[in-house]
Amino acid sequence: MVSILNKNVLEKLKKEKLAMLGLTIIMVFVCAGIFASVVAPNDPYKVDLTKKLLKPCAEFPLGTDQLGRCILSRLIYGTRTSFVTAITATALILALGVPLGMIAGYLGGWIDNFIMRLADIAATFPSTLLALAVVGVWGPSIVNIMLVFVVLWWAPFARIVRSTVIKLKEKEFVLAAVASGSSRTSILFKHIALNTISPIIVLATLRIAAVIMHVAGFSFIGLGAQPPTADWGVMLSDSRQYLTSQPFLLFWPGLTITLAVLAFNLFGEGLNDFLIPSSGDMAVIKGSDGKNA
Amino acid sequence: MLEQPVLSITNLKTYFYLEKQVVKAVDGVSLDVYKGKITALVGGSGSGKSVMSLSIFNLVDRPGKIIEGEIWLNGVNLRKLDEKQLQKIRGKEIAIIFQDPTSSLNPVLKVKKHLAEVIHTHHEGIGKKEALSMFRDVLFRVGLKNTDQILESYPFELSGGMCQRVMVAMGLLAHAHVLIADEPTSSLDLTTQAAILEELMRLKNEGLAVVLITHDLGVVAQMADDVYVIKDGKIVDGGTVYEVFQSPKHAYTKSLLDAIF
Repeated sequence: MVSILNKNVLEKLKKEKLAMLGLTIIMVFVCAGIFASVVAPNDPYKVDLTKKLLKPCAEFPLGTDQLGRCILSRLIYGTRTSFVTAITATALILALGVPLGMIAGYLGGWIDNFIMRLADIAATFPSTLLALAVVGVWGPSIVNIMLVFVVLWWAPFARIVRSTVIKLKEKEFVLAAVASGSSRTSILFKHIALNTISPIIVLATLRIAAVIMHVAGFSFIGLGAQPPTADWGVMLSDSRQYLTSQPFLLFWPGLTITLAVLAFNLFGEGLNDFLIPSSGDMAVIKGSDGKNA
Repeated sequence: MLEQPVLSITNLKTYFYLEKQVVKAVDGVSLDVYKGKITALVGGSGSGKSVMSLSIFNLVDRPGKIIEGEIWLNGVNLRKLDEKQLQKIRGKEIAIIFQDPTSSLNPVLKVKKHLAEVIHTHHEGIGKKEALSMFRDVLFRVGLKNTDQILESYPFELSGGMCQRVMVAMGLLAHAHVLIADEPTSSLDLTTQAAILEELMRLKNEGLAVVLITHDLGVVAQMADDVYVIKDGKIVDGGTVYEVFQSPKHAYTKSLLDAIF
């Protein structure tokens, strides 16, 4: 972790223009989410039918929806729903996938085989189908949708961690550590785990974008967040009937989702170029241009 | 010779069981290593010298397996110990440095952390301050001057020679009596090579037993006290440097000597 928070690394990251753009957008979203109550001009849940479907004006910068709620405020509060879901889901995915990958890679043998076949199943199982099943049993909610992602999306993490661990296990410094008497746990955590962080970070960033998009998608078809929750997917879903008469009702949440997903993708891709220029694992500290002694 | 060897290997056999054949990487090697001496192990590529050094640590991975033989270190037969007991001896009694020093250190850990791990594994109950002064001492002993800066460096910020010295320092910190140097200089430039070899000489004079694995007879002539020539996993020639260089017994030793003189 230390190496990633290294000052040099941050300096270099600043040169990755697109990644920085992505990061800026992400930060704007995060700030808007955290300070939603301050930033939002209106109460996102306040229904006022006398003010429905207004054009943008001073009071409602992006206008109002079919129930007279402020669109901008709803978008801002929607950031909370989306980001909290996406980040929690990704954290849970990491918590499941990384240790499994590590165990598989380090121990090998039948355990490896067993975990990886589970990963194959998880990776090939259609997420929509599982979502429908889960929602059918436990009812539609954003938490259930999140669970679906956790159950299915740990596989790529387990795979990438496993392959990195296998590669690292053969490295001379691991051999040297064993030869100098380090214990198995010390080798796994100090020498191997620390070196797998960069691919994990990259994949996690890209995965957050995917979760945001999919959660919005499930909310749109009514399996995720339920109205009147301020959620981008729900807003999209609400706007369907007004597609021809009030296209902006659809446009704003659509644009917001696009922006958020784009931002995470840009940032993730930038991190990828920067952290793993040639899929090297020590690239984090070497930086993108080799040595920097 | 009346003195007891620190490390004594008898009839060590390490075979690799491949699908269609058995590769006898080490096939009945016996050798003695004495305190305060440099014992060279010379052989071409694939002669089994590296597998032998890994065998001492019981670090041969599948499909390789140590078939028989005894490895006596300070009166203890390492072959009779289990993994837990071996773990205590590795690094503490016997240390190894590898061919490529830059890849022998973990790229994401500072030198300080590497040394701290040695302390953590082999000397419990040492305070932070005391440890830090031990680090400085040991780095100074291996010829690194700017110790504070080096402690805070990542391996990639150091040169190959410096990394190799850090590796040696890790062995010294654990108070290893035997240092196995597996081609310690072949990836270094000439001046650094000379410096590292000088370091090994100094360690020898301090009383360490050094096993120098190399293919460079020039280095052997300059440094070693005893020399063993290994070919196809077998020791074909052995004795003091003078004996072997003056009257080589085996044709392979002769051809090696002819190649340089």
